[in-house]
Amino acid sequence: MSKERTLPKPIRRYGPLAVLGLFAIWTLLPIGWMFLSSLKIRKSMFEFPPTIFFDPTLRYYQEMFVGANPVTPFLVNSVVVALGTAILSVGLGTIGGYGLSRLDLRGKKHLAFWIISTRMAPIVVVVIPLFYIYNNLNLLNTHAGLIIAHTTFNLPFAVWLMRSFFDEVPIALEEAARIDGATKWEAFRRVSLPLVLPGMGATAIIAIVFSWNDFIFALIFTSNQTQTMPVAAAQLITQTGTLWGRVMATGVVILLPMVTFGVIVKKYLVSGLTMGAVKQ
Amino acid sequence: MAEQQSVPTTAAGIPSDAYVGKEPDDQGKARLESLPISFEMLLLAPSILTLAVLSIVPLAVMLWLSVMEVNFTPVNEQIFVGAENYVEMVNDGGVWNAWQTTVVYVGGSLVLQLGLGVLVAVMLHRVIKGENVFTSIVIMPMMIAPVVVGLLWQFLLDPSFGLYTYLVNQLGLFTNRPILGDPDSAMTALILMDTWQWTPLIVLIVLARLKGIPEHLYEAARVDGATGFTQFRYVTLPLLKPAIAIALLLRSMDLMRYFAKVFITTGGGPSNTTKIIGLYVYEQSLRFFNLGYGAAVGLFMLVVTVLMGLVFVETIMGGAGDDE
Repeated sequence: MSKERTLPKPIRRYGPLAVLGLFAIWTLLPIGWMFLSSLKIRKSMFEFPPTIFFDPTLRYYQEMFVGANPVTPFLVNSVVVALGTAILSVGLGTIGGYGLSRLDLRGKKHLAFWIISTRMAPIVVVVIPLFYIYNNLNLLNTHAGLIIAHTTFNLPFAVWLMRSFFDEVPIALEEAARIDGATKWEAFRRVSLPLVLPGMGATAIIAIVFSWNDFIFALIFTSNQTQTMPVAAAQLITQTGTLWGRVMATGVVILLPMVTFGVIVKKYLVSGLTMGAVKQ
Repeated sequence: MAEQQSVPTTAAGIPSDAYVGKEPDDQGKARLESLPISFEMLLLAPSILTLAVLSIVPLAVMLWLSVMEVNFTPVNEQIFVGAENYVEMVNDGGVWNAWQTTVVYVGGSLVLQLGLGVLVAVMLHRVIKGENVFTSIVIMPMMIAPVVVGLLWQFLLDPSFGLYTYLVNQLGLFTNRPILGDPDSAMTALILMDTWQWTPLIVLIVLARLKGIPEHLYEAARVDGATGFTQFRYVTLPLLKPAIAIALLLRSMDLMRYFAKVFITTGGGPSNTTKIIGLYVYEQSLRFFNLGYGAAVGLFMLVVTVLMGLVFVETIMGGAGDDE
């Protein structure tokens, strides 16, 4: 029996834990620092070396909602746009994904590739013509314009992901329903759809995250009245001096709901972010 | 059902015997199934039509713009210039520089994220407890808006009060030059920023694959005397290949697609060392309003990414469908 090169036992035992621990720290440190900094008064913010112990303040959060320039309208814009695109994408994407899953057609492969290829376009390549079109159709600075823009990436995503969920529903279940006299629509509506409801929820949540986090579309297609949170956050950086406390607090408000969503749909996240290519 | 069927209803003059083998329980559904296109296609049609409008119209506009010179002032006008924009692209040093920085940015990020991602996934697969807590932690960066990630890292790397600047200073580095403002380090910082945000995706993809490797393969390897590194090299790694390929292609496409983090932190500077192609096209089109020229460079970029996508779907996912 050949003697293998092996590491000493303590390393084999604690090595993995050490790697995972370091990776968790590397991941959490910036987020934790952001939370801490959003609670720091101006003086302790700029201390060098940075301080960990300080008198916390909720001033920045308070200013954000009741101050002179509240972010509430931007939050509303973000919610309206995210919900709009999620409803549109998941609504069309669910029936479309079912159709694509059950479709029996030569060249289905090419059709499916074309659908996903619309999502592969670099953001800037979509932005330029849309800007030109919106400029002529007066869609700049409207919620509808941004919802349509976000649907360019959310709809192909929703079709593919929902298709992957429907692919997992055994076709025999639908056939059984059909034998019992159900129409194709009923087989879809009463048999398959209920089985993919969790997947549908996950698709909606991931679509909301994509829309909520978008910056470039929102930057180009919105102005003061329709601005979303990421654009508002970016505008806090000024030449004359940046209120870092406010920036950090705004960042926390932007990330908190999305991180919560991420943890809720964790089970579906890998499928979602790989458009169904990887199953957990 | 049975009562309804006993009444031979004819919907709008269509003879009821047109539905042989089907059992229409009301007229609406009956009509649905007698359409010339299949039921599945009917469900898919709204998505196809929407995407057609949302992709073909912009593409046509883009093609048209790319052979035009577009002016907004003093008057709104479009002048046909033929292939001039494309000729300009080939001769534009800025474009070449942008593609070079893109290759460094995409390549550097992929190598780092893949190495780190596989390492962490393999380690995570070995520990018995805590996977749930660990994955809950590491998915967080992926959920954060790129703008917030950019602002946060700008804050961490600030030359006068940044936490990471302080930590790096303790090692005697960057004591007198800003990390994001130095041509030698700005790109590295951006790569690390993307690595922080997206390595977890690779961890999760690889972990999902690791869980799918049947235990008996390892047992067989052990019988043959393979343990530790040998086992990883000759058993695990080959089986991970499809997962790694998926991760690589998804990441490379996203690295090409998005530029918000670069936009917010360095804006392409210092002296264009971080001006990736997406940002370059953005500036040409929407800052300098050279819509025609920007469209030409953007179209070339689109061709590159769609070809990458084609490779992804064809070789990795085994084709997008199951026919042929």
